[in-house]
Amino acid sequence: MGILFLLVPLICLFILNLPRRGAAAKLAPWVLGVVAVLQMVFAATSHLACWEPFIGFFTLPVPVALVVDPITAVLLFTIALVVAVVTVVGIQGDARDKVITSSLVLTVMAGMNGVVMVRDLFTLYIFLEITALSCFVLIATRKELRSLSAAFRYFILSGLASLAMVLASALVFMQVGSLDFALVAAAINGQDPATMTGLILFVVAFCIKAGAVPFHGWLPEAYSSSSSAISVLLAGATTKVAGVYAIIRLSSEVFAGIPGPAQAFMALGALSIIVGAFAAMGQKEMKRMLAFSSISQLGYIVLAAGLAGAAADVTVSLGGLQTSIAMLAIIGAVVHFVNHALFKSLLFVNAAAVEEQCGTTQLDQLGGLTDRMPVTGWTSVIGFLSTAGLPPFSGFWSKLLIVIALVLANQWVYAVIAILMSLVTLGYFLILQRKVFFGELRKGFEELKEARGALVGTSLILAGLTTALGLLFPFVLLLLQGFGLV
Amino acid sequence: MGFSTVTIIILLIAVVLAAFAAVVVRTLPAATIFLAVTSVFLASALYLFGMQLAAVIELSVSAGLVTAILASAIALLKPADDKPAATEAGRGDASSNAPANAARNSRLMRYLALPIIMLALAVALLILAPDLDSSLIWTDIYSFSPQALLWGERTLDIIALIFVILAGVLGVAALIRRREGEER
Amino acid sequence: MLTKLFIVALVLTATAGIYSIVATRNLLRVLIAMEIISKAAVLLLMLAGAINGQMAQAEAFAVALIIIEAVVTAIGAVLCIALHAKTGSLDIGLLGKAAQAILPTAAQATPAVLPTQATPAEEGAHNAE
Repeated sequence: MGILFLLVPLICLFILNLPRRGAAAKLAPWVLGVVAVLQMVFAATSHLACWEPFIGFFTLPVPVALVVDPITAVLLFTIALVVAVVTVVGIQGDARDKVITSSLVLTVMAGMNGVVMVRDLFTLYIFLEITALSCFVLIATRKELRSLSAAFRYFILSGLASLAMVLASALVFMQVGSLDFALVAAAINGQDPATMTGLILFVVAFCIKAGAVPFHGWLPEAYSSSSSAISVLLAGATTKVAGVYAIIRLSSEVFAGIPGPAQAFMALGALSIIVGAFAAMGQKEMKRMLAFSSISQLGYIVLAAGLAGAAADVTVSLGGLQTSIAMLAIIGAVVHFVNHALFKSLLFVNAAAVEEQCGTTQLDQLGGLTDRMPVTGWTSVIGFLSTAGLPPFSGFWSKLLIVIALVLANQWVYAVIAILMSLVTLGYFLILQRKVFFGELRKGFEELKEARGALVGTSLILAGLTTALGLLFPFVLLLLQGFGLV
Repeated sequence: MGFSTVTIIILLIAVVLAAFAAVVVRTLPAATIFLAVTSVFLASALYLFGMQLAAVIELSVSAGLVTAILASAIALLKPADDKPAATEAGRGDASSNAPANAARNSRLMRYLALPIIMLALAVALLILAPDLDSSLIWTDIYSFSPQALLWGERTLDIIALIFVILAGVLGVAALIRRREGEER
Repeated sequence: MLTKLFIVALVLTATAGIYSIVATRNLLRVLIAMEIISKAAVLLLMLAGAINGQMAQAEAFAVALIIIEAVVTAIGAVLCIALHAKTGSLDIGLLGKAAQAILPTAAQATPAVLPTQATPAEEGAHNAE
C-alpha cells in the first residue's frame, strides 16, 4: 500500500507536464490539490480493512520495503495537509514557472512520503536527497539575490549533512552488516570507536537538516526569502520531515538505549528551544521571527525524541492509561509535529496575507492591521496562542505531554526549560501582535482590504483545526488507547 | 583472489595526491581536471576490488558527467571576463604584478596548513588505526552481484533514484531559464 | 596493512575536501570539495563492504551515492551560474553574514561586487582565489 504514496505524485507529475504550457499552468493547482486530498484520504484510512482486497493489486512482482505504521500514517496525512495549504496559497510566477514549481512540489512530496515510509538507512538517504534537491530549487525560485544565496547556503549545509550521513551509515554498516532499522537496532551497541564516530556524525547530520542550534544557520534566510507558498512548505513539512522525523525514528527505534545520541538530541533540542525563542524576540521582520520560532518549536520535538531514546522502558500509570515514558515522549513529539504544521502554516499564511496586502513584512512599517484585516488578525492570535502552548488549543496538549514525560523521567531541568520558554514564546508573539495587528492603524493603510478569499479561507480552516484538535484531544487519547498504544 | 595488493595501494596513494592537487591548484579548470583524475584512480581501485559496476559508474558519472558539468559551468562564466582581463594585462606590468604576487602569497599561506595536517594525520593513523588480519576479509570478492541485489531485493532504491533524477532535471530546468533571461 | 592504508587514504581525502570548503573563497570550489568528500565516502564504503562481507550492498550504496552526488553537483553548478549571472561574482561573500559565521574565510572576503568593478571579480571567478 505504501507504494501508492509514491505512485500518485509520480503519475500526477506526468499528467501535469503533458499539456501545453498555458493549459498546464491552469491545471497545476488542481493537480496538486487532488494529490493532496487523495493522500489525506489514503493516509487516514490506511489502517482500515477495506484496503485488504486491493493489496494484491498494489504488490509489484518485486518486494518494495515501504511500511505504513501509525506514526507514518499521521505524518503522511500532515504532509498532504501542508501541500494542500501550499496549493491554496498559490504558486507564483509565469506559466512555465508555475508548471515546473508545481512539479517540484510533487517531487518533494514524493521524497517526503518516501522518507516517512522507509525502514532502511540506505533508502532513507536517497529519499532525503530527493527532498533536499527539490528544496534547493524551490527556495531559489524567487530568483532574487537573497533567495539564491539562501538556497546556496542551504545547499552547502545540507550537502555536508548528507555526506556526514553517508559516512555515518557506512560506519554503522561496517559493524552491523546491514542498514535495516530493525537489524541495526538489534545489533548496535555503540561501544567501538567506529560506531561512536558514526553516531556522532548521525547526530550532526540530522541536526543540520532539522535546523537545530548550532546548525541552524541556513534556516532563517531560507524561510524568509522564499515565496510565501514555499515558506509554508518548508516550515510546515520539509524541514520537519527531512530532519526532525529522522531524529524521532532513529532516536526512538534504531538507536534506542544508547545514551550518547539520545543525550545529545536532548541537549541540542533544549538549546534550540532557548536560542530560537530569544532570537525571535529581536527580529524586525515577520517571516524571520516566524523562522526562529520554528527553530524553537522544532527544539521541543527534538528534545522529546531524545527523551524517547534515553528513557528506560518504564511503564507508568496515569489515571487509567498504561504506557511507557518513551511512548509518551513519542506521542508528544508526533502530536507537536502535527500541531506545528497546523499553527506554523497558519502563521505563514497570515504573513503571506500581510505581504500581499501591505507590500511589506517589516515590523516597524506595520501596525493596527486587525482594523482592516480582521480574519488575518484574529486567526494569527489563535496561531500564536497555540504555539505558546495555551489551552484550549492543540499546542497545549503536545507541550503538556512532553513536559509530563520529562517530569516522569526526572529530567527536571529540561522540563523547566520547556515551560519557561513557552512564556518567552508568548512574549515575542505579544510583541508581534502589538506591532503588526493591534495598536494604531498606520498612515497609508486606510485603504487596506482583507486578504483574498483563498488565504482567508485557509486561515480559518487551519485555526479551526488547531482549536478543534485542542478541544477534542482527550478523544484522541482514547483513540490511541483503542489502538493499544497507550 | 585476483587483485594485486600493491596496485591498490598505489592507486589509494594516487587518489589522495590527486585530491590534494584538486584542492590547492590555482585555476578552476585545473582543479576540475584533477578532480577527474581522482575519479579515474578511484574507479580503477573499485575495479580491482571487484566492484565493477561501481567502477564503471564512477568513471562515466564522476569522471565524465560531473567534469563535463563543472567545465560547462566554468565556460559559461568565462566569456564575460576574457576581454577585460586581456586589456588589464596589456596595460602595464608594474600595476598588475603586485596584486598578483600578493594574491599568490596569500594563497600559499592559506593552503600551507593542509599538507602539514595531512602528513600529521597520516602518521598518526598509521600508528594508531586498527588493522585486520587479511585472511579474514577480502574473500569471495568476485562472487557478488550488486545488480541482482538492486533489481531483486532493493527495487525501492531504484525507484527512488528515478525520483532523484527527475528532481535534478526539473531543478536544472527551473534555474537555467532564469540565467538566459538575465543575459538577454 | 591494507585496512590501515584504506583508513589513511579516506581520512586524508576527506581532510583535503573539508579544508577546501573552509579555506576557499570561490563557490565552485565548494562544489569540487563536496565531490572530493564523496570520494572519501566511497572509499569508506569499499572498506566497510570488505570488512563485513556484504560487498554487493556496499557496491549498491556506492553506486547510488555516486549518482546522487552527480545530480547534487549539477544543481549546485546551476545555482552558481544563476548567482554569477545576478552579480558577476562567485565570491563566498555572496552568501551573506550568516555564512561568515560558518565559513571562516567569508569574513575576509569582499561582498557582492557590482558589475562596474567586474574585472577583478571576473579574474577571481575563474582563477579561484
